[in-house]
Amino acid sequence: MKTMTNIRLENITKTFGSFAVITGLDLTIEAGEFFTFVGPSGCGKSTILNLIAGLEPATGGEILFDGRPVSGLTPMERDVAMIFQGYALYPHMTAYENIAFPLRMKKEHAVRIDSEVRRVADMLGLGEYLLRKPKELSGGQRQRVALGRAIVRKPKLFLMDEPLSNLDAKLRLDMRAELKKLHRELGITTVYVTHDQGEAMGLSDRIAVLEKGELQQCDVPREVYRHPANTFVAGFIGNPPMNLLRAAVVRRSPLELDCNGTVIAPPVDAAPSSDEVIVGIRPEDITVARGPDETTFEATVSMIEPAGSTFLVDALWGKTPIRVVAGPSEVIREGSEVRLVLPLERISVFDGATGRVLQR
Amino acid sequence: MRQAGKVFAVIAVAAWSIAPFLWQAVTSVKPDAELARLPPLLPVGPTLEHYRAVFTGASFLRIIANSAIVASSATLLSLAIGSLAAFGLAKLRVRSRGLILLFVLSASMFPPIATVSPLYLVIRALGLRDTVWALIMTYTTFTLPLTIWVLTNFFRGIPEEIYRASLVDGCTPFRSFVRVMLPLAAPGIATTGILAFIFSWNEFLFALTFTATDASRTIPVAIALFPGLHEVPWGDIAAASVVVTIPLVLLVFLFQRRIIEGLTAGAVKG
Ligand SMILES: Nc1ncnc2c1ncn2[C@@H]1O[C@H](COP(=O)(O)OP(=O)(O)OP(=O)(O)O)[C@@H](O)[C@H]1O
Ligand SMILES: [Mg+2]
Repeated sequence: MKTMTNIRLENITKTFGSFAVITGLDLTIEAGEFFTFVGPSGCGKSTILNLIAGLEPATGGEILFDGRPVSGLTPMERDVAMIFQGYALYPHMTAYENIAFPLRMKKEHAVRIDSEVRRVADMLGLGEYLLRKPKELSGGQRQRVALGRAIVRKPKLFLMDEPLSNLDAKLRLDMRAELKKLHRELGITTVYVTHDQGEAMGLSDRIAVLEKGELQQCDVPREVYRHPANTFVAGFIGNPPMNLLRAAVVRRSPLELDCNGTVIAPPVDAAPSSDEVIVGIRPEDITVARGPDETTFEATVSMIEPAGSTFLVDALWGKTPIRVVAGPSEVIREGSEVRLVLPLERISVFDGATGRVLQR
Repeated sequence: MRQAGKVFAVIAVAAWSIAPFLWQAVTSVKPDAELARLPPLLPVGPTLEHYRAVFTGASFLRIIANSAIVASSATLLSLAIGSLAAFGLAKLRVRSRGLILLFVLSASMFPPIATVSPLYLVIRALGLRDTVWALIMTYTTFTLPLTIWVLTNFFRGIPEEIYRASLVDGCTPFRSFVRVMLPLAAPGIATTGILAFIFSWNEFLFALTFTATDASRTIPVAIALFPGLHEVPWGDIAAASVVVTIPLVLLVFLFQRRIIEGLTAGAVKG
């Protein structure tokens, strides 16, 4: 087996003309890691993959594979396989020829090529479509051919740009499982881009959240979810997103906050820079009150939306809208008052001016 | 009503373009006696005499062969050089490509009559007078600007991601050109190929200037040299014209499908 490759991005910048897309990106992707970039549209995710692949030169900074700079090396010399956001299949070739193409370029033996293509096609459920041209395939089938073309060989590095975006829910789950299995079996370093949080959480060893070409947070999925580094990450990661409420600082040390008339004292590690902070509470951390010894508040339920095994509850805390995820056993009715618990240990507190988290 | 109008318009345009050719075809089978009279419109006693006249004596076959060699060599050369240049201009990092394209275009702006005498001197200096090479070289250079322009646009139209995918899959740029880009530009290749071929097949001025004997003479020149001392052999000229037009018609029909067909369907999202 090939030794695994780690990738280091050192202070990478990328500008198109005068437009800066990436500004000083600095991170290491460990050997064998499944590393995911998430971020809103246009934040530079595809650009980063192109830089790593060697399809675009970086404007500044250095990319290293296993400590060796790779600038000037072609994608072939870097030995990467890539799934493009727009599939980029070869329209004049059948699905079979598309998948076989990278092996043909490596001058593999014909018999081996055939068995490899069929193995991958079976795995992706493409068996009966192998002789069709891309224009005769559905979007999901095309995406699977693109996937097959990348995973048919064993490169140093996989780069995947939203490889499952066009599949239906079930197929997406199946493919996700296949990718995970594939990664576990081959252990090839994988850099992944997705819009789908569930995908990012479920697949990745670590997640990097980007906005406007800047790294917001880079950590294991659980940490990013549990302890978002700033209000952007808090609002971006999680579905439904974290509740972000303004709160006034009542006392600085120890910190006491007036959150919508309820005084709370969540644990923090740094002092806020102004008299206002932002409090972040995950919808599923809020529970319906049962005992007396809790910090609670009264809210009016405005809407209940069944979401499979749970309920999405929209409520009004005074004038502030707040989202709650309620378990199936809770008895809540639309229009009624409900007493909810503020989970002090799980509340994030962000600086009102900078948006940075004040804990840890 | 509108349908009828459309049909009428199509027939009118078709008649307008085909009429001269039909006239030639009719003339080519008219006996000499009927040539200069107008009725009858169609020949009373159709004859193949003119065709026989054209093909007797080995020289007309020789001349057709010359034309075929010159036109296909010039077309192939123009396509080979032009597609490589166009690929580079469209897909590789080339500085000031706009300027290069303008320069290429400007080369085709000189009227042939202005370049014929300097070119004649060059050809003579190279010792290529009265050889097919003189014409092949000239036609290649004259068709290149169009080839480069049309093909550059074709290559530009191929999604960047497809080219990038081929690089990731292990192609060098040249390999990608051969295996991926060229097949996808096939409609453009067919179009420019036909145009270059027709130009080279029909060209008259340079052919007249650079050739002297049947060793390199091409069809348009040969037909122009048909007229004898006292009379113009209209029938023979018509027969020759029909014979040399047929390959062009066949060529266009052969490649028509390729030209129309869009090749990149289904390659990329959306
Ligand atoms: N060749 C280019 N020239 C100029 N600007 C570009 C070019 N490529 C990308 N950009 C710009 O760079 C920014 C980042 O683009 P990129 O494709 O990396 O975004 P992304 O994060 O992949 O977005 P999405 O999620 O929509 O795919 C965008 O604002 C885009 O307009
Ligand atoms: Mg993208």
